[in-house]
Amino acid sequence: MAPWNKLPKDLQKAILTLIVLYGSTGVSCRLGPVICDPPPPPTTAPRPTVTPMICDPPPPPTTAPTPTVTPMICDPPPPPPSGGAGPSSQDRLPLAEIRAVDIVWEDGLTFGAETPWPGARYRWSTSGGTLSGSGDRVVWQPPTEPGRYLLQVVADWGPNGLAVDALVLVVGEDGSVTIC
Amino acid sequence: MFESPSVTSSSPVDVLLIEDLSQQRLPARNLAAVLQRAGLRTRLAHFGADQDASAVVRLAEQEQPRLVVSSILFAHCVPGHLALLTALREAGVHAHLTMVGPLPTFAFAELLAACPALDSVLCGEAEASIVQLATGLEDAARWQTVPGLACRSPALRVNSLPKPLASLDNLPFPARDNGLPTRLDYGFATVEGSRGCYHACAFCLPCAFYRAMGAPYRLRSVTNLVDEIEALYHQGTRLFLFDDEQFLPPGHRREERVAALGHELERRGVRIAFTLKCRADDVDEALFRHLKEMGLLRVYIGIESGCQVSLDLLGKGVTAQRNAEALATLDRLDIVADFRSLLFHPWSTLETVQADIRFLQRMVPHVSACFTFHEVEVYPGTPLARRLRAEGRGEGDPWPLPYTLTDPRAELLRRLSRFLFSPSGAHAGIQNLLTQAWYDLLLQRRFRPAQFEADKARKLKAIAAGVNAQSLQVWQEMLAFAGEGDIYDAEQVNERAGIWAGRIQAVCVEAEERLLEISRGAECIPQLETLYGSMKEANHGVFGVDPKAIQRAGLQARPGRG
Repeated sequence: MAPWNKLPKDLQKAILTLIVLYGSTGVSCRLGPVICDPPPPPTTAPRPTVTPMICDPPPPPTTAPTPTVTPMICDPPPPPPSGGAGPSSQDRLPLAEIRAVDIVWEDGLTFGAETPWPGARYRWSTSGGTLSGSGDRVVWQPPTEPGRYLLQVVADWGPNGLAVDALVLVVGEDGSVTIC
Repeated sequence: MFESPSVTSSSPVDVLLIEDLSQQRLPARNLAAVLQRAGLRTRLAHFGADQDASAVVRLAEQEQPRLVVSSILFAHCVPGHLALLTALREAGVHAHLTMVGPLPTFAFAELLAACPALDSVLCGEAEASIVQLATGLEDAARWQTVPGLACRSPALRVNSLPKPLASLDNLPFPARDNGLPTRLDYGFATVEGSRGCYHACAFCLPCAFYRAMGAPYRLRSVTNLVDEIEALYHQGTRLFLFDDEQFLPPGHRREERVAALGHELERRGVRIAFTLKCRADDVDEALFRHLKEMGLLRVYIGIESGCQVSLDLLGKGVTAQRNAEALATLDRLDIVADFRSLLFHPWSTLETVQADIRFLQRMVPHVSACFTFHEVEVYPGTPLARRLRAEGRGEGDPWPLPYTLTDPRAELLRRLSRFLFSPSGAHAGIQNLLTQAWYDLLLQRRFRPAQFEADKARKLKAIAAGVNAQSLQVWQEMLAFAGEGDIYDAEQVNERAGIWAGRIQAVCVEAEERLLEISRGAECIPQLETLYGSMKEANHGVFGVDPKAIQRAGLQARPGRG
């Protein structure tokens, strides 16, 4: 039996839907926390019908040389009646909490990520140079080209939360690096 | 953004007034003036967002006032103030603890229930009743009957609101005991020429407050207003903020009032710069040209939205077209317009957000400040709160009322917006830097016109346009994802959110660099470089690639910022 996380996403969704419809008999708890989550919502969110809208044409240009704004304002349809989607749809949305993470300079060109929330996955990226390492600690190898470079970390707790921090790293003509 | 003088301690006080004084607002200062006129000794204490309460607790322990007034300017201040009041009581401060402001007026029951340390809430226009409370505390029968007072006795009781002040001219000028802040050596002061508003925006708390008081809109006389401005002028104040909800009276009276104000300032030789708040339908080209001649630098304009459905829901009584025209007019007059975009309200949909973003895209060439993306805060006492509650929503502490959007696609966008455009994020940082740069340049245009460099104004506007255009590009991508992507797939959403955050960061870093280039060697904005430098000093370390160079420099790891 293939591990759950190796299964194609569509198959995961189908199994979860069956679990909800018919119970979890036969599916072991090795599924872990995934089975605690409700299945992806069937498209219950009311999508308001978008009716074609007629925008008034802009007024003819005046002889005045001053440019005048003549925006065409298209009205969207009115909002759907409240309560249609229900709070449960929103409960399943990601970004349940905006959290905090800090990049801290540790040593040399090593940077760490600090956050009080446990269990984060970290994604590091930079606009120049290269990164080695993973998890909550990386080493940045600066590029030879002087300039300002961005080092960013995203701390990811799946649907429970997300956090981001960034640093500007300036590579000088002499190869020195300044953290802003 | 302004340098504030420090507060000094002198004689013991009768009343301690606590407010976020850095906001340069007037409620606590007005109350202090009224109390002082009655012969009571007062002290203003600053208590800002995320500030440690211990300094205020120590001050109260030292002064042992008989009354402590917590002045609530914004809903987000409430939890901090409640914690502070609890800390005061736990520290053994025996003073009567009361709270004032528009929000407490409508949420007195919830506040008293949430905070046992809070003795009362003084509802309504507190200048009318604060002296009666401060002088009647020895006798429960006296203070419990103060108009507008809500308290536990032991059951919750609330007295009828006090009558609104018959004339704003009868108020003493605000107490500015802690001095006046300065910007580029120009003094800055907030003044108010009126109270309330004759419009009826459904989300507006001050509007609901003054209507509940029975005085929707009142004006000070021009003479009384200029008396205060002149007194401040002779103390060095040159930049004024008219903190009126509605600076311009209705109909033909607005031209008359502006003309009278201009005439009176000129007659007294008082040459000032000022900013004011207005609505889009206030913006008349001739009137605002006149205001600019009088010293108007910048307006905070209540655009709120470029989506007609949202404008109607919010009861703005203005069209999106009119909003667009107002921004274009102000741009033609070279008056900097700042405004917030209320992209999210309880009835937002993907389509209303799309309409707002389309509006902003059209406005990019006409706006000199960074767009800001917000959500409507629903306050008790407003028509919006009544509507929300009628739908069975908005349950919870009403500071402000919590709500979730019914359209999950819009709700996801709201969460992304909070993630990407947080008040402590890079976008807010560049927005603040740009605002300061504009202030400095516009003050120069007003007071040292020979040194004014129009090219710098064009560059600042170009920086704002660049940040705005690229932010809107990110919004377009978010809208596309919310419309067609799997919004419940946390892996996808989080990965994209990280990429978008990186893009916004990069845009802001580039804009910051361009701002620094403009300020470098520029006499007009000398403080920008100083501020930029101090920000860098606070957070940066310099090191070479060689670790030994780091040791030689004696640098420490960058501390975490919590």
